[in-house]
Amino acid sequence: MFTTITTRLFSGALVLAIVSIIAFTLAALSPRHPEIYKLGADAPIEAVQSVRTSLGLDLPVPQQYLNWALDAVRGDLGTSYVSDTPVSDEIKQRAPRTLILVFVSVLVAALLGVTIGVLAAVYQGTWIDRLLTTSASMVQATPGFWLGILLVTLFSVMLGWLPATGYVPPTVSFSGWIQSLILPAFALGLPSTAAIVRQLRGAMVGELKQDYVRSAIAQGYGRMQVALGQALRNAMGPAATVIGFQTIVKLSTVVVIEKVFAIDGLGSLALNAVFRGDTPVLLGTVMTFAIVVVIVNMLVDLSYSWISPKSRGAA
Amino acid sequence: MMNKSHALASPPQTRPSSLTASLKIKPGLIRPALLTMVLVFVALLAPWLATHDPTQQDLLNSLMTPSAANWLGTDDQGRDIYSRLLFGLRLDLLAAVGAVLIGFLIGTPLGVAAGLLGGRVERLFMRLVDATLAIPPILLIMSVIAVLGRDYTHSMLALGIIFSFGFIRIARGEAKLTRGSTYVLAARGIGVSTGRLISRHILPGALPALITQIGLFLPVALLISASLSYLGLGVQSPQSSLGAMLQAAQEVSLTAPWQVLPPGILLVIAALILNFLAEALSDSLRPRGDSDPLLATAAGTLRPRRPTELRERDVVLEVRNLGIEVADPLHGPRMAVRDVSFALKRGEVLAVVGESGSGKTLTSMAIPGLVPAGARVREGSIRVAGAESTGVSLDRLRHLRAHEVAVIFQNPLACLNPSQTIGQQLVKPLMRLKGLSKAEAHARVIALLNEVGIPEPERRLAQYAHELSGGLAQRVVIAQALSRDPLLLIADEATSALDVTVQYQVLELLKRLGKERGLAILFVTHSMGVVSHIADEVVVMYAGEIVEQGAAMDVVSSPTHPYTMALLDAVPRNQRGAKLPVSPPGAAPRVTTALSQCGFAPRCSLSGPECKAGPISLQSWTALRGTRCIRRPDEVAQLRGRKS
Repeated sequence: MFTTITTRLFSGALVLAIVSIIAFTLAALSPRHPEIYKLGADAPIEAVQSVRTSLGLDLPVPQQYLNWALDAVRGDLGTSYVSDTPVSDEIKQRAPRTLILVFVSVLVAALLGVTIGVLAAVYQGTWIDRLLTTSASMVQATPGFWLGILLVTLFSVMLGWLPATGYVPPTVSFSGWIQSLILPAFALGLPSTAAIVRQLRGAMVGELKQDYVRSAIAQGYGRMQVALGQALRNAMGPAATVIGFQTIVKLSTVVVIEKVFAIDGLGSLALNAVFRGDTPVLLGTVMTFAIVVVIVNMLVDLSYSWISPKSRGAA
Repeated sequence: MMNKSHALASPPQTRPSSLTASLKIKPGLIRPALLTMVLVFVALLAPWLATHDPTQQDLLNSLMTPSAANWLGTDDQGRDIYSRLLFGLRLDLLAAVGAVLIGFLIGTPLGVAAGLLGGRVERLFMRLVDATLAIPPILLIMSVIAVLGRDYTHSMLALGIIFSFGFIRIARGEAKLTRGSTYVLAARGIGVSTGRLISRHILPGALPALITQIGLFLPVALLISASLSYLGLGVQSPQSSLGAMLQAAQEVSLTAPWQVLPPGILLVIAALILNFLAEALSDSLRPRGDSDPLLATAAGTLRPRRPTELRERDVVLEVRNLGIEVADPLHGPRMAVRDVSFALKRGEVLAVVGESGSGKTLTSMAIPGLVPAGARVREGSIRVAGAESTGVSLDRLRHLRAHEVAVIFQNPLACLNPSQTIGQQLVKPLMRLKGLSKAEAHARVIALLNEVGIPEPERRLAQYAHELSGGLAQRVVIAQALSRDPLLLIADEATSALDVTVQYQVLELLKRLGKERGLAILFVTHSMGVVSHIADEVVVMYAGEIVEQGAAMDVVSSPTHPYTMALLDAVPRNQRGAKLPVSPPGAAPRVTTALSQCGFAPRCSLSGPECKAGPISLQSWTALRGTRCIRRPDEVAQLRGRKS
């Protein structure tokens, strides 16, 4: 177990190193004009030059990368061109709300997806199965941001039950925090349900054909006891993969959902950075997301050894 | 199944190349393909279908509800929503198709190159691909757009790069597979060029997977393109896009909430059609598995065991005139088991012997209601401890399985749950099905494991199935069966998968347990060797009927049916000059309703015209013995040891 984790950590660090090179290359290729924010559009050329020199923009790109990477490893991701504040401060402040939103939405999707997937597999071939899988496909074709807009229109604008926009930190108001999370979490999570349903239904149908299931039925276990007590855990391997993958998808679409609900998270930070040409902020956000993705992949890998005792010996 | 002579009679077909085969339109693809074409036509014909210029503003008539002039009303700038929808769909579809095509065109050659080059270059390249996937797609697209500037062609390119990774994996896999295959090594040997290798072998091989991937990416691409336009990173104003329309609609949702409906609904319809196409494409490549009816038979509720009284002396199992019908999608239903009758008493072992397809397994599985899909009991009765077990309620079926009839299947390792310890699998049924406390169940399990001869039972409880040998696993499964104190134990080829020595030990164990516990054992096997070892009574089945039944000793020592004789000759014997075992030549007939002659006649060396004149009934040459053969026992006895 210990060596497994060390290997995973090592390969995770390697992935992050490669990501940092790709992301920095893109950042170096994009037009970087911090002087506009510091000096205005009509600044004298000498002043522009001195700003660029102080930020190291006139160094060769590999040199720039090394400087940035050495700082980044120590937690210093540079300074925003626009607000002149440390990028890492900005990220630290916004990351929790984005990560909580993604976590809750994946939780919603996983709970719904596993429940519906198991039911569809248990009732396979019946109208229940067809109803569940068809509704799952419908939800899959619905873009989360439209779903979000619809939810806001219905529950906030028309019914007035839940707040339309914004994020309330739990330290300010716990019930306000829950309320501010419900709509965005559903808008973000629901479209993932379909993928989990499909994967889990397929895996369950495969498991339900196995000899050990027939053996359990022959022992007099009930239908749900067989499905939940015998087959589900063995079907969870593929489900864990797809839940992990959907978490990464959610880390992407959360950018859109944050805009729908006007949540000041990492997504809107990155989006504003693109619009303003705030390269250090965009770069820092990309790296933060990549770290989260690497951690999620690591957790999925580790979950296999919990799900399948056989792989424990092999790893 | 196909008739052999028919197959031979048909002219030899030329095998279609995999390229044309994979491109042939399958029936399931027609509807999604037509719907997709409708979608494409609407997008292509947008300039002709539109009633207004989609960019024409009319601020005096903004946010109008539907009217004759503006079929779906106007937006916040007074532009015609219907026309904007058509042009929006057109541009969003273009962006989606463009992104997927870019992905395909970048990914396929790169993947083929990586797969063909192999070694270090390939590993490095794939590392790069994997690492790039650690950047969430929208953030990667944002980084690319930060370089190139905001425009839908740029977001299309960025999305295409992300999609290319999917194509890289498929193309690389196929290229690797091709590179390693022997025929390619041979082709290389005779100087076939790499280009030819790619166009003749790799691309046709990878094409089905690549096409499926295109199908899967299309709806995703549509939704992502719309999201990017919503964010302001894709299609730029004043051009129309469904995402940008939604963004504008959201701004005015307080005054005109209905504005969010038309673009969203159209987007969902388009995505549904593309999803439909994707599903049809992947289904045509890999069809979905069919249903499993056994689970549905476990739907009853289980009550605690009632004390079972054995009426009619000690008869545990009585099968009378059993007929089982099996569905056959090609030829219609057929009676796979006909007129089968036998009885089994406490402490007795009855062996049901026959080749595969003889109906022996179907007969035995009908007892606890475990017949496979499409099979059902049509005639006769099965009584367990005097109570009928066919056509009973699901509750009764679960009672039967949990308390009265235990089954041991062929492959013991596969019958144990891979993710539960042996202890969990033995203790849990006792708690769940028998209502024992955990401590009671544990003590009972340890005693049982000792009884079935498993050394160090405490240690075994913590192990998983994959840590056991086949023989040990079979003992665990036997303990599992015994733990429920059944009246009847059905062992379906329970020793066939084991080594000969282990097989012998397990047979001894079953024999002993049967005698000690007064358990009735129904032993299903194809081997006469096993019969002579374990059985008190034997039933020989052929083509769904009993051809011979009687005391095992008698049947083995003096078989009265040529088929029994052939089965006995198939037993390998360790003696000088022993011939290699031969199974009787030919195959059992396929019977729809009833046989019109002796079923074994075509394979029998004693058959004559009288055997083919009509169906043969069970004859009783001696008491307690039945034989479905009109030849006298002494005639049949002459067959012994002779090649049939």
